Amino acid sequence: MPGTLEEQVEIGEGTELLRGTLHRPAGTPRCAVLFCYPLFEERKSSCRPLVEAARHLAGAGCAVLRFDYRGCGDGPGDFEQYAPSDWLADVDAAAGFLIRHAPAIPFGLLGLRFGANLALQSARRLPAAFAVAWEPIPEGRAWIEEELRRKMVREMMTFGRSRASRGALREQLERGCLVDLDGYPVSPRLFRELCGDVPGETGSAHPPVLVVHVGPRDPPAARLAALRDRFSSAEFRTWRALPFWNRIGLTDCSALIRTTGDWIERALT
Amino acid sequence: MTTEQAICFENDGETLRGILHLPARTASGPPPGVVFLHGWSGCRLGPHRMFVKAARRFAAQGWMCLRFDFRGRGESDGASDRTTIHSMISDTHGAIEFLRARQTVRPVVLLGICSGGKVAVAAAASDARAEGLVLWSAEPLGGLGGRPIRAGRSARVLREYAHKLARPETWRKLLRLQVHGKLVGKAILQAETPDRAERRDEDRLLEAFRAFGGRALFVYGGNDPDTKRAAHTYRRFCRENSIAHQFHEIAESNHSFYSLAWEHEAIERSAAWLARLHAWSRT
Repeated sequence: MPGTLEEQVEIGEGTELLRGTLHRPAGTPRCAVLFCYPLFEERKSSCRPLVEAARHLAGAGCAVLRFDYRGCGDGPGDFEQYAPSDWLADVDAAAGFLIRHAPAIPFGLLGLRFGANLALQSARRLPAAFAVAWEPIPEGRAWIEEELRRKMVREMMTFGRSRASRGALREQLERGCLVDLDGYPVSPRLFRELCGDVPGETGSAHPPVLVVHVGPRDPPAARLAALRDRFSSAEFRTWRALPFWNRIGLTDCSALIRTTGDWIERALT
Repeated sequence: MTTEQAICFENDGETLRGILHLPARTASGPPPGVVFLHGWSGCRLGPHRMFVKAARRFAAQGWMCLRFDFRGRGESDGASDRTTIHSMISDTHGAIEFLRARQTVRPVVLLGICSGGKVAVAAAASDARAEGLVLWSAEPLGGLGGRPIRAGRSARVLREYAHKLARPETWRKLLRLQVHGKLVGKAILQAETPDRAERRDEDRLLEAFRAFGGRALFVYGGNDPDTKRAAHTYRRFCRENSIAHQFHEIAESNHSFYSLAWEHEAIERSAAWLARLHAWSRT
């Protein structure tokens, strides 16, 4: 985007510095947006669409900060050392950094998948003017079950059979053992914390929320009901596309990005 | 103690972004370097963050490591649909230049995964500064692939769908119109498009690789149908052209080493090989 700048930044201090990129718009920013990445391989597969979203928003006058949580992406440490409570603290640190660098303008969050859950949860605590949730995960436990099923499918493709049943894997985690989820070590603490559900609105102070379902069809009724139940005042949209966060290959997400930019524009006015 | 820095460098007018892993300062002169090359639609993290873990491991062993995003990928500039094997090769040369300009890093090793492996081979063929290659599940370059790889994939996709048809669950979905016909068609037909011009082009790059004077380590998964042929043909090619090489098969591994044990084996085997390469280069 002409006139915008991308600056590599470090957040925090000591040995656990968070690494991120601050997208600066040309001129004075109109708002500041903090991006919250998803977890596991979804972080890798969604890298480009989120970079393109940040560039689009910067082109529209927003200051955007993308960063990696500890144990994820380019972040410090090993994945198994951390859990969502640590990543919420990382979101707070990144939000503090962004607000210091872009003060006195509306601040918002945008998250994908588990990042959307972290964004929604943080929007309740931080001085957020808006939050955007791309395909949040309404039920943590169901999501982990889905991930375990994915592991089994991958094993079936590799060996012709899966090596352990979902029940056995779940039992391992519940017994306090680490489970190898396709190269990501899932600790019992991570498992326990991931099993929580997406937090809903509390009181009347929740900022405007856009929830976008991404899929080739409408969201399953139960899933939509679960989200509507938690976010009765949110605006719900569906973007008909394949889930780009778990695909090999590149997906053109420009329509989703434009829709989101337009919604943020309206939320600000 | 090792450190990590976010860096960027220019190549063909585009800004490429990455992370430089710096080894602890040693008294024995400039460090050797590794440039990591991700796959076609990947990014500098590698699958399941494998590049991050490997770069940290190698940096602890004294190597300066550069993980970067090719143009049009990850955090680098450039349009996604304009990335080609040639732009990836050019970006690799730019990355070597960046590393060599920073310090007199020697030897420089290219570590590529999947199509990043193919890029590593082609880049090393045209840049004598690359003295070593670590190739993880490297895709075959040009004629080494035999019949077009995509046609092979298509046959596999068809076999998978045929297998699915034997399941009652699939028929239940069909009857309820829950099968996404467009996607199935796309999965089969898209895989069927061989690109002859690209193949000829790659053959020229492969021809240049005959003269490669460095050493190469190939790591393949024993359960990877995509690269079974590649392992065989690369081995034959290296023998025929007297390229110093080693092969390591991770017995049960799939293409992208999707388990902690396979990942560990690939990284540790590569770390040991790099240590030997460094010793050879000093003699």
